[in-house]
Amino acid sequence: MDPWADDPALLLEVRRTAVHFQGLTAMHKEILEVCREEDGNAPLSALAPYPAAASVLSHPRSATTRRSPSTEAPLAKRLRELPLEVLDPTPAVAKDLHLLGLRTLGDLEALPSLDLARRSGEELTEALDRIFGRHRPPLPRLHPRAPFRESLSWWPPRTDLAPLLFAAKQLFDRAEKALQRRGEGLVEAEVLLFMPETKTPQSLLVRPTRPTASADHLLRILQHRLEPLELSGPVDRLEVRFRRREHLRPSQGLLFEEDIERAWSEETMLLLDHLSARLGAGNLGSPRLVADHRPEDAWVLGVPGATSPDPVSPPTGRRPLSLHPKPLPLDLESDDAGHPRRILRGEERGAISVLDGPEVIESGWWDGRDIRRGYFEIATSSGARWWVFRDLRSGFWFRHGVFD
Amino acid sequence: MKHLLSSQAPSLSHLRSLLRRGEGEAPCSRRSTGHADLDRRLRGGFLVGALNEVLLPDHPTGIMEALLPLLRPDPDDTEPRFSAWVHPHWLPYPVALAQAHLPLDRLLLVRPRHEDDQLWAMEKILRSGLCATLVSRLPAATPDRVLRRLQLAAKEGRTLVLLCRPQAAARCPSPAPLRLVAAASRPTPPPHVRSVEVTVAKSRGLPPPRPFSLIWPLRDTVILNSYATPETVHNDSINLRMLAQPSMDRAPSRPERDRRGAPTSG
Repeated sequence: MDPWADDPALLLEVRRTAVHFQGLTAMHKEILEVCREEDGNAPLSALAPYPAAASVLSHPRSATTRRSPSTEAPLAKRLRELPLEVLDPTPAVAKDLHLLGLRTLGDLEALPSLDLARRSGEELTEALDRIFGRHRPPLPRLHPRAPFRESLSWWPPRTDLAPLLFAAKQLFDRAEKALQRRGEGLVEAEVLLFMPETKTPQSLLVRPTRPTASADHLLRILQHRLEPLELSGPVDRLEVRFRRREHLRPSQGLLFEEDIERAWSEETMLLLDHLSARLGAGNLGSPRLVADHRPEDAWVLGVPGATSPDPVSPPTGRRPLSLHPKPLPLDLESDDAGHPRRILRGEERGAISVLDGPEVIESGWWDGRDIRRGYFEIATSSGARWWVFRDLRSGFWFRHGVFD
Repeated sequence: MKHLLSSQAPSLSHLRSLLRRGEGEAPCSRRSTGHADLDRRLRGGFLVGALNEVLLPDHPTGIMEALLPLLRPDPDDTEPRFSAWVHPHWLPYPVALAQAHLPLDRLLLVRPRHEDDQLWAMEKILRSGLCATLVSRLPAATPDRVLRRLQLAAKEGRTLVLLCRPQAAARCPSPAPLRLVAAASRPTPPPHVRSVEVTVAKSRGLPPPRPFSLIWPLRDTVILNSYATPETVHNDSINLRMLAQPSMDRAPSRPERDRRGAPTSG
């Protein structure tokens, strides 16, 4: 696998194989045709004498997908013309280089390497050395996993779930054996339902909360996905394909006592899988605080039950139990110091008490969503507690939450 | 009433037991709400394995903040369980929960897309028994059969359900064995304390409801400035600490008065 690519990419050593295809050009063409047949699209690709050059020449942001000649002079010229984005720089480094007027790898290469390293880090100069062939590190060998793609057919085609679940049970039992042999758990599988009346099969994804090899577990997730599904016709074949899997750490049980926690965790995982199969994986989880001072971005929904490896402490200023998805405009009168004093409109109009504040939050300058707000906790005349802020740039007031 | 005519006079406790409803049913265990006053009125707290309804007005009262201790891990559980909060959009702000020292990794937020999914998810979670507490909100017009189903699921899973509904639901029957009505405190409490008026509208074996004020302290809260009318500020018996803010006016202090109400000197 390409160690420098963010997206999955494959590096193939093809020089010795090319003799069987009557040359590099013919072999490259045949590889792309096979990929097109399998997936419907040809991948981005490039030929180069060493891996790092092939990696950047096939980068989505490079302008070329044709093979480069085997001589090194034209290759170096083509590499120099590639845009800086092929290095996948961090936003801070990209902004820095852009401010310096640098646009291509050639512009970078022209700079003294020591100064470049001091300014933007050694990773950048090391990447340039790899790309221009000055340093060619060995790559770890890839041991591809045996793919799993098995199907069962039946006759006549049926619209009820019974034959689907029967076939799925058989296939998941085989999948369980294949996974257990390699000590792996399934992260994602695709189940395809083939109908004689339609060309394109109906596809379902089976995604357990945690990698698992259990056929029963996978079958129950599939059952929950199938129950609300409307089939577009009678089905005569079901196919299971592995999409992603990973190694499982072996769990150790107690010898003489029932391991209550391990058994309970399986049941919890099953409940979570059922909930996510029906509601969508993005609609349940355990919240986790993140290091962002912007109140609306201070948390994310993470994996259920997962503890953060780097826990973030909550802020010291009091936060409301109910935060509005978007701040609501508020007609507030303020005093000379800019502190809220009176609500001018609405059911709660009247004098207020300020309980806390101002808490000034300024953050987000790096991603274009910067804020400058002065927050106050106020009590209205009816006793309701609101969390309001004044946008320090516009001067307008907003209500961001209520202490419910 | 045959025993009343017997030669032996019945004891007072025996008479009470005849009049009290709910005798013969297995009692539910109760979990403390974190407020001794409320626990005392509820004979221990909210019911485990049952629906506990809280009827809310349209405007916020602070009652949910008061009941946050119910989301803490149940000390009686032998294995740790989740606390689930299920609703399409009425979900808590986790930063506030973290400030209330609730363990976020034991909190499960569930966002169903619509009410059918919400009821399905609630029943699924309750029957699994894998959550110690479930918080959700349902409309006033929720059918009785739906509530009965949830009540049975809560009993099966031994889960404490905190079910919030609008105050209009007070007119509708409910199988929930406990029903509280929350309202804003009158008169308005001092700004540095939180207070909500609670009425125990329904609870097995308890006397008829009378509203009471549930009061709980915040961390140091001060009046920085107040332009409210004097009637809404209670500073008779409470010592208020005023912060010196150079850009702000101090709240006017009350002059000392003698017994006739005339101001004194000094």
